[in-house]
Amino acid sequence: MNIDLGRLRIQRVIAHDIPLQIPGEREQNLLFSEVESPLNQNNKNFFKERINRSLSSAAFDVIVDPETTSPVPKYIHQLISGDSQKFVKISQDISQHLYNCQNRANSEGIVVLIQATIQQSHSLVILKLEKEQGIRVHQENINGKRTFAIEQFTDLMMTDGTKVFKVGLFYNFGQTSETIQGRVSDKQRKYDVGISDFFLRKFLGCKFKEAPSITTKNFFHSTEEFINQHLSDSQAKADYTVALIATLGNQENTIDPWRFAEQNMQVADRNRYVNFVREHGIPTEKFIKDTSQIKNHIRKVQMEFKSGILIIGKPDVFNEQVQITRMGEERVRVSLEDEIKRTSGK
Amino acid sequence: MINLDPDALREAYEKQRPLYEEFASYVCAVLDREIRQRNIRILRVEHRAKEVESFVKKALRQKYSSPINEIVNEITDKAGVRVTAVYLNSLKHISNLVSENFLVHKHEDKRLSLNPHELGYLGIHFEVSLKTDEFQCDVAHEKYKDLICEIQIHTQAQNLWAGVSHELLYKPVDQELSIQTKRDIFRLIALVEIFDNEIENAREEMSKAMSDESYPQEIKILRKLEEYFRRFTDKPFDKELSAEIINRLIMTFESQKTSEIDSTLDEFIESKKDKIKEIFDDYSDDERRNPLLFQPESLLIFERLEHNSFLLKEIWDQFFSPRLLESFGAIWGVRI
Repeated sequence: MNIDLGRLRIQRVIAHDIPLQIPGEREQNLLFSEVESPLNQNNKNFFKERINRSLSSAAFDVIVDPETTSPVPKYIHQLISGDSQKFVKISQDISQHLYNCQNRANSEGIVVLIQATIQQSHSLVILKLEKEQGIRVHQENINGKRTFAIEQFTDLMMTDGTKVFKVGLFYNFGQTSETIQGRVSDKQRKYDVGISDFFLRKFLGCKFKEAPSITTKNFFHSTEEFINQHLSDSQAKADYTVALIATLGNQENTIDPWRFAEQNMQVADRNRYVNFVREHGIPTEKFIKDTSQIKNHIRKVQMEFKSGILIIGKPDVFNEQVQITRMGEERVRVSLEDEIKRTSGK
Repeated sequence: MINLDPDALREAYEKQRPLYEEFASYVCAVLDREIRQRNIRILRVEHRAKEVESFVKKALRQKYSSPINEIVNEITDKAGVRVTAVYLNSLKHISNLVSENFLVHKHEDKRLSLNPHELGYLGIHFEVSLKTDEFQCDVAHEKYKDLICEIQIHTQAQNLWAGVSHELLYKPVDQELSIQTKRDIFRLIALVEIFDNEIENAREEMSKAMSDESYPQEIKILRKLEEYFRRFTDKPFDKELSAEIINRLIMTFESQKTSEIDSTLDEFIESKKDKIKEIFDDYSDDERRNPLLFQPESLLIFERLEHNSFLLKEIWDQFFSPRLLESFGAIWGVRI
């Protein structure tokens, strides 16, 4: 069942301070919050929008790792099952576990736990935030003269420019903690790859729902299918195929189908494509690229024409040497200027 | 001689009043929901339980001689709902809704029951209770089983007259109204009826004009959107802003025929009505909300986000602030 982020509704929030791990003082006395944070509807909507912005653009589907020793899945299950009486206590337990997982490499911050519903089912959001600094300016008069008063803040979080922000949304359409699913986003990753292992495995006790190699393979095959069976424009077919092979072969560590559509397809095709891959179970947000299962299919681009003529070449060579001109809806003219290296019978 | 014990009356009704408040609220919610489903334009639907003091005064005035617990039952307007419609023509549709959803014990159209020379309240009056299957299906409604609710349906002009007539007509009993005063009041009543009739005529003329090919397409679509919008909220909106935005959004449809856009909207609203209601409920009192959210075109924006977000972004960024569209994306839960 696909989750609809637009139906996320925040109910209650609690935040805990997670200090820096001090060497030799592992059992530091932590001062957790004792009651939920007071929230008005404005705040709830703010949280919803910030969470949605993260999870709709660069998030990964995760499931509970059956081999995990993290207690967090059990805690999540308790809260999602409707045990809201223990919200404060469980949030403290989760925060304690986060502190215990961390080492000197992990920065201090705030963990925020949000009990919510999504599509009217219970859900839980876990955020790890770092405080940011910023200034606020407002105009005022000093001795009758106009100026800007400047106020510094050192405890800002979740601003539009926030770079350090981990968020996980968890829900369960099954009955046990093993069937918990989630979507997790980590904006802190330096090269925008995946989720920090510490956050995903050690703390949350989760793993990717699908191996990146499988997702990459499915992305490749679905995109090929879309190109070959759902487009009538031959030039578009050619262009998109070249773009697909180039995308899979480039140095980037992730694939973003939504971005792929935006950058490579005509406007009229983009939504159809995104809907098509989504219907085939492929995430339309960024996912980790692993071409190990399709290496043999992405070395070159192959175009087969109705006449039986085949053109094969590397994507960069295609772009440079092969000119494709539309000659009506289904026909193209292909021009290639090059030396013949070898001919043979087949 | 008034010989009822007011304290006993007060005590008897005070115990029951919370239940009548709940009942009136329930009847109000049912009517509100049904009215919105049928896109009937209303100004408001309100409910109340009769105030304790008002109840006691009525009991004393009516000079009941029955035991107090029977008096409590004989006074039937303890729960009340009032519907104020925009158009005169809507009154009969709302009356039909009442008959469909409740068991009617009494029904009176005051305009028909008053003689031409009589002065009084205009509007339609019902006394209703819940139908048997209503509380058979939901045990929570069992407690409303024998309760009566008074429903008043009128236009705004009739409501205005109701307020004024209460002031004008409740004179000391020994004072007869002069012929001149009566004539003045009749003119007021005539004005009320002319007002309502002229609004109705104007609405019909506008409907005819809208079916003309030359009528601006964005206005036709806005009228359709406004019907849906009113199912979710009563908030006022800026019509000129709506027209401008809709004019641009039309370009994001493959077929730009009004009938096809209407049909797309019908399907979308039906399939997403729960989600839309949640969003409108959550943002209703949010002061920092996207200023376009409570405009009818927000429904069109949501539909486009769902079905053609790429083209929507292309067109939108040419004319409006990208931040507004990003905000819509975050609210709807999609990437933009």
